[in-house]
Amino acid sequence: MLGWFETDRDLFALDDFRRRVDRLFDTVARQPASQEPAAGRWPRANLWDEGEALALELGVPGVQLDDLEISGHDNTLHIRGLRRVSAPEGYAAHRRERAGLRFARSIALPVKVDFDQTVATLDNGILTVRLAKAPEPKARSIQVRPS
Amino acid sequence: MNDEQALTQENDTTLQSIRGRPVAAPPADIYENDDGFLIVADLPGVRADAVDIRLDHGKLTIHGSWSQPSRETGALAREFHATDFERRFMVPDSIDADGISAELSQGVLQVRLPKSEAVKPRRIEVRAG
Repeated sequence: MLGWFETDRDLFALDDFRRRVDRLFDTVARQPASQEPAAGRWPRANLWDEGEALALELGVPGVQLDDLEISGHDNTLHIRGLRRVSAPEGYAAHRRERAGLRFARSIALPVKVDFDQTVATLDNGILTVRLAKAPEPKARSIQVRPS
Repeated sequence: MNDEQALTQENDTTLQSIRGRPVAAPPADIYENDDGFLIVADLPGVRADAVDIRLDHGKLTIHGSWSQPSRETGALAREFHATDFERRFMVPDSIDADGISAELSQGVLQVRLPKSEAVKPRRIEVRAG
């Protein structure tokens, strides 16, 4: 008899556990897709050394220039933006893989740059931010005079 | 709408890399209304003249190449590379093949596939006798 009792309690515990897991998945599944990129880092970035300048490329298809905010501070470049994805009016959706999202990336730059000379262009869904390198302090030669 | 009519994505995992470049399947949305289907796909970096859209035996193929300005050296960090994009969809017969149009804006491609007149829903007037 005792054996049955125990089993029942174990099954109850298992059932309870299953319900908890279901609830957890429900919570995860209901999170709005617009808050976070579904997988990995978005947008993806390339950083290039062009000699006089650094060039940062970001793949941001569907992002409008007005929805981008670029700032620089302490040799770190901050890019924030919003990608709006909305179903066209009057259409029913069969499949939706493109997520609307808010994003923010900060990129620590390997060399000193002059943020006042930053040029950003948006072309075919690729944002290019060109950052002029700050001039290196000139090496000074100290003359040694014979006494 | 039954399954046969719906615009479906072809389950094709045999895409081969051409020219040694990676081929990626771009994320896409599929919409439908009474007049037709609309496919929206992300093709970052792709210019309009580098997009090729073909309809062959009910199979719609979207191909795009991103020709990155040639950069040989100077990479400090790379998270993405010059890519070919390709995606195929099975299209129902009810599509008016001549009426397909496409538009590319800010790296986002929109392909409109109008339904032929014969399958469009019609409103039938009921007259009082």
